[in-house]
Amino acid sequence: MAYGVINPVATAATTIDSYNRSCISASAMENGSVVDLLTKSSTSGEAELWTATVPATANLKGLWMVYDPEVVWTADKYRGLDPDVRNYSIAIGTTFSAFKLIEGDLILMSADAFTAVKSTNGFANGTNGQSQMVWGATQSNDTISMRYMATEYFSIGTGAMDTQRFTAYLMEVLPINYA
Amino acid sequence: MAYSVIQPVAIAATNVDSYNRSCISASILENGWFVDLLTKSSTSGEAELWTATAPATANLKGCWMVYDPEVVMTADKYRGIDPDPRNYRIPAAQTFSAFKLVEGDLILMSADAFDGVIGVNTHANATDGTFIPTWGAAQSDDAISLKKIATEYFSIGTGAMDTQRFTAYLMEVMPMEYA
Repeated sequence: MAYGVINPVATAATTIDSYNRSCISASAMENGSVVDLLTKSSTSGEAELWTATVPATANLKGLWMVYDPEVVWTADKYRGLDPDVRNYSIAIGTTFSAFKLIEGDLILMSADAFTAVKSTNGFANGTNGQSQMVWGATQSNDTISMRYMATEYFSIGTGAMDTQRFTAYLMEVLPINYA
Repeated sequence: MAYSVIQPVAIAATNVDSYNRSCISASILENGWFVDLLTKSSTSGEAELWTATAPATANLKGCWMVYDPEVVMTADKYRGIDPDPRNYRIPAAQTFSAFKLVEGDLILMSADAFDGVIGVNTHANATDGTFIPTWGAAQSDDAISLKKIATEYFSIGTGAMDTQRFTAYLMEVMPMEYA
């Protein structure tokens, strides 16, 4: 299974420190997942960590996006041997990073980072109970939403012939209730 | 009387120059209070200063927060002798600094920075006619709102036994109309 891969092309979080947080979750995560950061961890030794939860209806406006360095585990022992970023996911209980989604942010996201099929859909929306952005024909109300800008690619060095790139979509974060 | 004390833990204004302004007000102010900055001063010699006023109903969404170095004046003559930041406030017509509140900002604020008693309240909201964040059970509509994340402390070097810390609340600026 290929996990989500993202490249923050131009995000406010690159410049603004407060838009970046360290998190932990009781759910498995992958890059490009969207999460609520509503509380800090109450576990001893984790005072600096925020508890990441799956977006819920009451809290869809202030979502954060998971984005962690893609250093893949191999056989649960070795890190950094596997060059394919699509094999990277974040295990339950592992610390990871997330950044706040701000209108105008441009993010290149692999097709695997979304729920549902792109088809003719032009938007991806934060959705109750979904840890990935969900494709839709329009922007949803009262939620973080992204607009599809272009189809591009990620290139990866697998050594294979003809399969060294995979589809990604350039997405722009929209103002809330913009459409 | 103890005046309010704040510490910006992680705020966008740390990285964005335009989120910081120099101000002046006809009112006595304390750190952590909300102000509207709607006009620049028309007084000769104050061209760079913004006039800080109490938040009004029409302008509760774009409040700024007072935050000035706590260099206490003693006996109206001496500065820097008193190490207790709780004794610092800003006299009327004295230049001070304020920063723009941006969603996701984390600010540690002493209990004295709020109007009312926290009790079981979880939010502090900008309210018409008052500079002071007002405790409430929920986020107010169409107003800057702070959500309580944790109860913490400020430690101060007063030299006293057992009284060198005082209660503070870690507050997060909420997305507008998040609730």
